[in-house]
Amino acid sequence: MARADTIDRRALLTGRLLNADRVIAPPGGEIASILVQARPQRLASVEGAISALPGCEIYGRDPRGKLVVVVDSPDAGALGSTLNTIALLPDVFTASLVFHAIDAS
Amino acid sequence: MAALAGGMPMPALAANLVTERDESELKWDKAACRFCGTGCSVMVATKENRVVATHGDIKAEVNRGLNCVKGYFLSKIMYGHDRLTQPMLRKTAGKYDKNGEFTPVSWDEAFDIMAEKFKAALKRRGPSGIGMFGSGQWTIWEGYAALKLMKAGFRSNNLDPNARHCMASAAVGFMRTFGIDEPMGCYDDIEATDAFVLWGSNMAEMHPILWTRVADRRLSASHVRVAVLSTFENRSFDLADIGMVFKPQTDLYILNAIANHIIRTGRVNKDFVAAHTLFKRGQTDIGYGLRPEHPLQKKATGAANANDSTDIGFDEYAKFVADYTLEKAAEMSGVPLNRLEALAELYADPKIKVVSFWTMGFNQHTRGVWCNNLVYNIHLLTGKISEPGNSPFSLTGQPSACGTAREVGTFSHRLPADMVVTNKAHRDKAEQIWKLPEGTIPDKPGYHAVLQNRMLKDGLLNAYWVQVNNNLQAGANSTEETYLGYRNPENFIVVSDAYPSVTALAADLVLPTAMWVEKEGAYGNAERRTQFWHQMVTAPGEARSDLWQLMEFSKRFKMEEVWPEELLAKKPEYRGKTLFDVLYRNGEVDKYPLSDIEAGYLNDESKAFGFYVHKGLFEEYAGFGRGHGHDLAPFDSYHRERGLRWPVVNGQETRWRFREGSDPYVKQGAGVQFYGFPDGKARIFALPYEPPAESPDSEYPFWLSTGRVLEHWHSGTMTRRVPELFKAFPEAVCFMHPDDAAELKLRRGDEVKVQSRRGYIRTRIETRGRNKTPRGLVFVPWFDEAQLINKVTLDATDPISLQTDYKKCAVRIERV
Repeated sequence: MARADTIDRRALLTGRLLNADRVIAPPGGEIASILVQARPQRLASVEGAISALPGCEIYGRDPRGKLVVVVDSPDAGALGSTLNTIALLPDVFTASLVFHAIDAS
Repeated sequence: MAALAGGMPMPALAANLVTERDESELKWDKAACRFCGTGCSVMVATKENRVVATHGDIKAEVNRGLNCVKGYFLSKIMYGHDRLTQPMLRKTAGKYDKNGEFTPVSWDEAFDIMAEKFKAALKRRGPSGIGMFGSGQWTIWEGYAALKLMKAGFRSNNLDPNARHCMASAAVGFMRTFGIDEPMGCYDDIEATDAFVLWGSNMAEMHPILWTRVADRRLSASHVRVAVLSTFENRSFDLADIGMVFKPQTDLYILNAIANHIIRTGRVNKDFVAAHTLFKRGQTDIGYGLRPEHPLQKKATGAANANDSTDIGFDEYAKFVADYTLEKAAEMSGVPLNRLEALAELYADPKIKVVSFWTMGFNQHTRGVWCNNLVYNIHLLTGKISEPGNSPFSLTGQPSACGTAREVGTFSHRLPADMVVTNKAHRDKAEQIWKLPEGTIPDKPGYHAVLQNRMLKDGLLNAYWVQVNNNLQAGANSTEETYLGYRNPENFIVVSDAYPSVTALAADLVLPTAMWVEKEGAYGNAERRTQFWHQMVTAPGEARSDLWQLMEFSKRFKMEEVWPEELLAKKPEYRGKTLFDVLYRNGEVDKYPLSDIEAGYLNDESKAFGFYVHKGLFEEYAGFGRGHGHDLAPFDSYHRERGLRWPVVNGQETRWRFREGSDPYVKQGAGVQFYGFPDGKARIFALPYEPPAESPDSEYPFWLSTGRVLEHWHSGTMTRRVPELFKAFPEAVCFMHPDDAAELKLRRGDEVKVQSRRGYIRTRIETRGRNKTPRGLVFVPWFDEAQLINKVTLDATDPISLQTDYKKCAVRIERV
């Protein structure tokens, strides 16, 4: 164990537990495609909002409410944040990853 | 690839992404995702004994190449730098001391002290003195090995899974209505239906891949409708045509009002009801599963026989629900009448096919079993069941809540294949398969999840083993119950985990565990799909799988130490043997040689024990269900398939149970047969509205509901170690209506105390964002180990399913 701390009653009651230790991200970038489902009437604005995000490009569009986004992330892990950001945009119903790869070189 | 998965054309460039990697250095294998109950299949890339990438499996029917954010982070969850890699025992001056510091020890020393403590507890109290709390994240063989160890070896039914917190109400609901567990339909219903109704399920955040399929159906067929019910507005409301925020507990009322609407408007499917159903009146005033001395329990007249029911006819049932009008439902629930009418029509209109989905909103409910029964009522009254698109569908929160907890039967009352310890014929069957003398398995249910915590606190359960869960964070009322139980000087607590969770830190002995693809595994998802994966990498340091831990520990017990003489006398050949010999070297589990392991794959447990452990355990286990409705396919086929939905008969999976032509167990000419009961009929239950255990009052004026967020899975042990997920939602907050905040002179971001009769946490107020609570209700997610909201919650349970209600208690909000 990285830390030998133990939990005591006081720590539990006051919520003063240490935060979990972080994963060390491997070096290198990531690339992925994301399928987005959004309100068809608002597709243009969703497209605009996604294009404004760093590393995001729109690669496909279905007027019934789908977009394919390709994300090129400079560092490993940024992709997950981008995916969450897209999923929580207004008028977006879902955002799912289709492929991602870590460039470990 | 995105185009393929999303069903639309796209430029070749995106699809070419795959080839940019030098694939020759990566090894790709399939595995089931280790998070929610959806059961997505992912492709896992390994390189130099490390998982480096995952992507959605294009060959998987469930997710069709897609992956959600948690699935994406699968490649990182094993590599937190505080990963546990050696056993840790609390010691002072070189000796075990409950108040000592965690000190690294060898596996030998760990098992020595553990065996000593388990033997002492057995000697002191008999089998009731020991217990185990397992998980819907156990692989199938881990759950099965644990079940054998506890119920056959130690002869203790004090085994329960954390799935008790998650879907016990769903399981008991199935047993009460159909006499057999798990959904009759499958995910194929999504593409075949005209309407979706979510009863207390935020699929947009909790089951994102299924939600993608629901959204796809809604967007590609304009007649499809989506209705969402919840006690606050969540992300799933974005897709809703009919959004409904109701007052807690009034779902019971709405469900009965829909049944009444169907009857009153003459839309009962009379032929179906006459041929395939019976009517029952359920026991009422059944209490709240609190400690017996609690005033609410003393008052409850029906608590002792909560699961009882009496026969009635259709007319009596119709009369019973006649009081439940949509008008009154609107008044009680706060949902506008026209929305309730639109909802009721989705069910009543014979031309509309409807899928009902539910998760914790129904199940974590002091009347959770009733909610499950009542939703089946409306599907049965209209005959909208067991056919494509007509499907009451209980979703699960854990990857193998169905496969391991329910099908294997790791509950305090269960045995495999829906059998129970209270039934002599069932015990006989298990004893015969396990080659045990008659009378080995005890005939009374053991301590269930909440009772285990109470018994630990009371000092009656003294040696306790927790695997793959974080119950100090997850169990309700932790200040008054769980924590005191773990730290009770009478008790020895062992926690097997991959990370130092709150529960592990409160234990006396921590065992480091192998995760996910560090072992060969099998899970069963919410649509009865069993999926396997191979071991792909080795676990770090001395971490070992739960399966190895269970089996290796069993070697420490001679039969004479755990069985009484009169039992041994019936099987004298077991004298002098160990539990390991009797349970796992029994001629069945050890039947398959190491050479049966597929070439090119690791298998650490089999190597350790000298036979193909997983295959032996699975084949013995499958013997319980084959031939009577729970058939699993041969072991090897699951390594080839992207899962199969049981019953699997003659190599064919079953998509819709109880329907002739789809389910081989339905008799020819029957059309529909609910064969879980010998009479082939499902039960429609008359069950009333009853109030919750605790409601807001002048002292504690707010409802507290707890739950989850997209970024984190359950207690956050894995997801909080991923920096991006941590950053995205670092700390829990208290979602509150802006007008309530204004009235309390609070602003967004202000620090507050969320205080109940039992405890408090400090957190910050959030008046914006994804969850919009109505006035009078606050929502706090439970993933944050620094804000343990279960210090605040009430340990009231459904008296029939014994599942905790995490969605309703009374709190006040104070500025700090």
